Amino acid sequence: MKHSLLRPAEMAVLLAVALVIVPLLFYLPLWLPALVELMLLLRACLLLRQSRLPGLAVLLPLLALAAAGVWLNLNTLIGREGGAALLILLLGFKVFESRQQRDWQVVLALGFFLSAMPLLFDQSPWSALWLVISLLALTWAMLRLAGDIPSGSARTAVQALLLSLPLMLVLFVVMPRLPGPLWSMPHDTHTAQTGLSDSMEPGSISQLVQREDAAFSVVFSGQAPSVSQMYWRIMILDDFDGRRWQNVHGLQQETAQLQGGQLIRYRLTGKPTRSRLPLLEYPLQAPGGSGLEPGRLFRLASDSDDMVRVDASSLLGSHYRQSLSLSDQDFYRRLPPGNPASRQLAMQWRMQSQGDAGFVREALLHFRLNGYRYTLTPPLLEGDNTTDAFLFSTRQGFCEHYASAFAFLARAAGIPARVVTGYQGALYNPLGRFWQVRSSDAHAWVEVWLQETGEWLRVDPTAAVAPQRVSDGVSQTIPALQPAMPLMGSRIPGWLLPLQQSWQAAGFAWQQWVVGYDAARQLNLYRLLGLGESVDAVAVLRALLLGGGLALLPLLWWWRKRPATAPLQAGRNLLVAALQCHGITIQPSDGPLDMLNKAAHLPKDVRVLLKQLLKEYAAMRYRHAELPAKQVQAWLRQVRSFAQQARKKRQRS
Amino acid sequence: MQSLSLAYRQLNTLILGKSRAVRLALTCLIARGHLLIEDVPGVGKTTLAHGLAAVLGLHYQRVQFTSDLLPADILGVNIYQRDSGSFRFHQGPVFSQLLLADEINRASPKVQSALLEAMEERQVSIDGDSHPLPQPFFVIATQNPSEQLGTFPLPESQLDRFLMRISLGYPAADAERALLLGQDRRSLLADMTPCLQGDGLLQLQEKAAALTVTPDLADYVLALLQATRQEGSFLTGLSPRAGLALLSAARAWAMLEGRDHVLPEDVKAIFPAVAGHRLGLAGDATASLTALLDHVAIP
Amino acid sequence: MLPFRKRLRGWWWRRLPPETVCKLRQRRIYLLPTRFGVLLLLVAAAVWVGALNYAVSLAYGLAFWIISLVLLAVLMAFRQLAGLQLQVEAGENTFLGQVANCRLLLINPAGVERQIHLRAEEGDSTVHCQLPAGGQQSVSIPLLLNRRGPHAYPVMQIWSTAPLGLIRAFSWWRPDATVLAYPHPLPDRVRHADGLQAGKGRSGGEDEEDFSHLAEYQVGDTPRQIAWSLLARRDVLASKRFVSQPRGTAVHELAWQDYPAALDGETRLSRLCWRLLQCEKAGQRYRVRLPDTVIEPQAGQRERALAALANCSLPS
Repeated sequence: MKHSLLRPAEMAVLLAVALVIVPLLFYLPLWLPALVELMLLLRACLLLRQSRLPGLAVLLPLLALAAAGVWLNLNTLIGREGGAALLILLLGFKVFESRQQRDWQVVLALGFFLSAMPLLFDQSPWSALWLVISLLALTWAMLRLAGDIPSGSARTAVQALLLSLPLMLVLFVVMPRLPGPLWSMPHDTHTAQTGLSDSMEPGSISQLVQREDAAFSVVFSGQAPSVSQMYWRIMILDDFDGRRWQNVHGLQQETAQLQGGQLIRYRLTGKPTRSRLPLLEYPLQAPGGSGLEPGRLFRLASDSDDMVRVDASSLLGSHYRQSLSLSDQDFYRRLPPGNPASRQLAMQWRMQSQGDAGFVREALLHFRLNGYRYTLTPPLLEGDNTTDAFLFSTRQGFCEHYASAFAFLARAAGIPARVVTGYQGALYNPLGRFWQVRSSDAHAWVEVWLQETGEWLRVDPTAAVAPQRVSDGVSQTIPALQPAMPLMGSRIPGWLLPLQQSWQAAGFAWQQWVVGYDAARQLNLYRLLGLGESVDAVAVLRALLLGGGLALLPLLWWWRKRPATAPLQAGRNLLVAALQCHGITIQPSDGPLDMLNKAAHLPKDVRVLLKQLLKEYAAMRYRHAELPAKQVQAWLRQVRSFAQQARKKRQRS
Repeated sequence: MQSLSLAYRQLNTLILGKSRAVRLALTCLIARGHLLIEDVPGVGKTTLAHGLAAVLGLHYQRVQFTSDLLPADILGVNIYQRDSGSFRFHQGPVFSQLLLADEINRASPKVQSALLEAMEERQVSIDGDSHPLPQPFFVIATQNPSEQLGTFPLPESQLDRFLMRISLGYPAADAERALLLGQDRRSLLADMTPCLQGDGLLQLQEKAAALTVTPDLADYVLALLQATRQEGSFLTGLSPRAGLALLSAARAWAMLEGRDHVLPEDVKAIFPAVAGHRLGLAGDATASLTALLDHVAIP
Repeated sequence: MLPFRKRLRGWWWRRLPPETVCKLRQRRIYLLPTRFGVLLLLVAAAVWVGALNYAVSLAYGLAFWIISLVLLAVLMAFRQLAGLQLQVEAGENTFLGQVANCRLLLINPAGVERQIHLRAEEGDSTVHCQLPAGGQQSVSIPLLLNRRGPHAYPVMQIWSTAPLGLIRAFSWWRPDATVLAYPHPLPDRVRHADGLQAGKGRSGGEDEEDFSHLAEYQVGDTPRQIAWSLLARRDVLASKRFVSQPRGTAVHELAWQDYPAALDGETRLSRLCWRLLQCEKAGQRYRVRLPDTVIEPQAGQRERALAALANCSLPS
């Protein structure tokens, strides 16, 4: 291959791989992708100047050095991050020893492989979009490298990708998905944790609330419960150290039962937080049939944080009965020393009220009547007695303040209590027909155990302070939140609402059908389409034949695509056909005058018309090099009617 | 235009029953080409040439080619003049507007190539001086294909100096009857009136060369050329120069037909006459050319 | 190449029927992935394994898209060849030991542009041509003529990897045409002069010069050259010019029998060939007498005579 001819193609390859590794800037230590991009740029400069390439003696030590840097930074060279890091390093060095077409093909192949790397970190539509851009660039570079079509290669690249798209979709849907990995992957410890954490202290939830990202989505089968009833439980915090509530797993097992309530079935799709998924209060059983954790919480068996989808069922509004032993009750009453004022207040209510339920009522009344404010930006609670400070001086707080304070008061009054974190509420998306729960729906509330009935009762002190938090959602409750979250709540401009909803619907569909398309969903689809009861060889073959046939349709169109016959040629063909109807055979070697001569014996009216048409034909083809399309079309119309008459005449005779 | 059709009519009264050949001859002259007439003696080759000269008002010379003819006899010679002490060029018969080279294949190759060179370059170079030939300048050469003894066939490489090769052939029966009963051709010739004056012919030639040829037509000519180059059809295919010759002849033919653009039919009409001798075919072996015209599609 | 593979190919080519016109159809177009194509399929497999292990749905998409792209490349490469028409054009005959051009015409009847490579099997020069939609192009394949006589056109491999370079579509064609290898010309001046004399039938060599034409007088012209009669009649001074080349009906006889029987046949033909070329160069008339044929002076004599020399079967 001639070097000079290849040079622009090499540029195309460099450009393509440079595009491919852009997303890795977000997922790998920044210096590494940036270094590789720089190397690609340097290689491009060398290309332009046609300078000599450095030898292996220079490259190999440098590569070792860079790999050592990766090791120091990531402590690994395998797994998701380590592998991606090593691969882009290899790419960066490979381009420096690429001279022939074969080398550049290897670079391109590496580029194709690298375009899968960002997907390991993120599967959002944006990632997919970037994947498409990468593929486009790679295909374009491939066309350039093949060298035959210097012009129009971008168009051909788009065409090739579009033509292979249906085939890809069919394979994507049809090819069997294996339920598990081939071998176990080393677990990455560097994943940034989002969502609710193991503990709760002032500010931990309000931070979360300011984020607008989707936490999970739910589709109810049947009637959806009202929003104020949607309490999604994720974690129980049973230990208070004076400032922070956390889960110490005090309860290893529980004997609980649910009584009454309305059965709600739903399908939930989301990313687990430390393997935990929120379930609607109170879950009947764990999805997949396994047992629930103590406290009726759900924890996934695997500790991967990939998106999962579960089918769950809950008994809404049921009674959560549990017999707590005395030691268990004591466990739920444990409090650190301090906060004397709060303890005193609790004892005072204990005296005034009748029973545990009376105490709860009293306490909620207190929150409602004593000027407590629900705010995202409460003043800082100083000192050791944070609960006292909140209850008696600042009186401003977010749900975690109220939950914490209420649980403290309950425990101080000798009522077993625990803080529950999770989400409250959801937003319906009519386009996608699903409910979206976002990080901003994160919430904390309290469950108290009532001696009289032996059941856990949910108490949401925030609802007492700001009832609309529970009925309308957080953005309605805190006006200050709205400018920061333009896409939240119903205060956005009316015309934007459908846009927002369709965006959410698209996101949901994306999650359901693309990211979450797994073996189970595939099986469902196979059943739905009547392809088979299981994804076995026969069914796959059947599906491939069916889908392949569909995918071939655009290819067929492409195959048969011919440049449209020139209208003049089409007209001539029509005339030939018309004369054939009159019994005159016209050869391809006949010109317009020949045609007229052959038609000499036709009736006069036909001949006159034919003569005029042929004369115009001759003039248009052999007199003017450029013609107004209008004139040609007018002529073609006349020819059509002439041909039609000829056909009619033949049918008559 | 009118003068041209008048000339055509006059020629047809002179040469009876050979309207196509006459038309081709006229076409050839309008296309600024030289004409080779291949025929047995006595079918009117000389009369045609004479008649063409007469109706077009051209200065006419005739040279009977023989084996002892020298190039100087055709081209002319530089001769020393004692009075002035200088040389003067004595023009040969080639310095005419229409030269009839009778039985050109009887002359030696040297004479033939001297004439053919003059035809190509439209000038005569002798001793380093070039003398332009008059405008217009035509050569009508005749040769008798049946004679072999003592003849020198024209070199093939130079045959394409002639735009066309035609043959008159024996007249049809009724035309021959009219010929026998009619006037003497020579007296008819004397009655011919020139239809063009001055540079009328030059103007016609320029007009013909300006006729429209669209890309579609050029494609057809290309297809014809390509067909002759295919294996097995002919000894050698047509050259690109032959393509140009086809176009200029077709233009002249189209003008004679009274059109301002060229149709594929024009190309077909002149194709055997233009292509025959270039493909090395004998004068009567044009059947293969007709077949070729029949199977080459008009693109 | 392995001897076995070579033999297999030889057998395969011999099976190909010779054709003057060949239209590439489905049955004779073969498709194989190129090295790059295989590499890309491996990449797709690797991405697939990654997708499986990390349960990354989009990576499945990528793997399948790469596979689809390769499948599409199969179709695209096939389309590069399908329907292509190849025709034999007259080859350029030339002399033994030289390289002849086998001329072929490629016609693209379809409305797509094609990128075609052509190579003579067992040859190493590749011709690349770009055929626009509906276009055609003439290509020349060099062929070394290593013996006298007709050489069949070599079996042609026609291939294309366009447009993606992933799949190579190829086909073979045995053109039904030959080029002639004329004998290698060997100078033979003695016989050349003899042949001329024999043809002219003259004995004397001195007054061989013939009068050619009159030219202006130049200082130094001998009195014998001055055209005295002209000077007398028209009072102009001119010199006669003479030529040494023969004219008239002299015909060179180039005969097989000119040489002693002991001389081997190829040498005889080579010498005849040289003499023939000399005659052509000088524009002389000649007749070639071979054991089986006689080529008289005629139109297209050069080609005919050379062909006769090339095809001459030597009497053993």
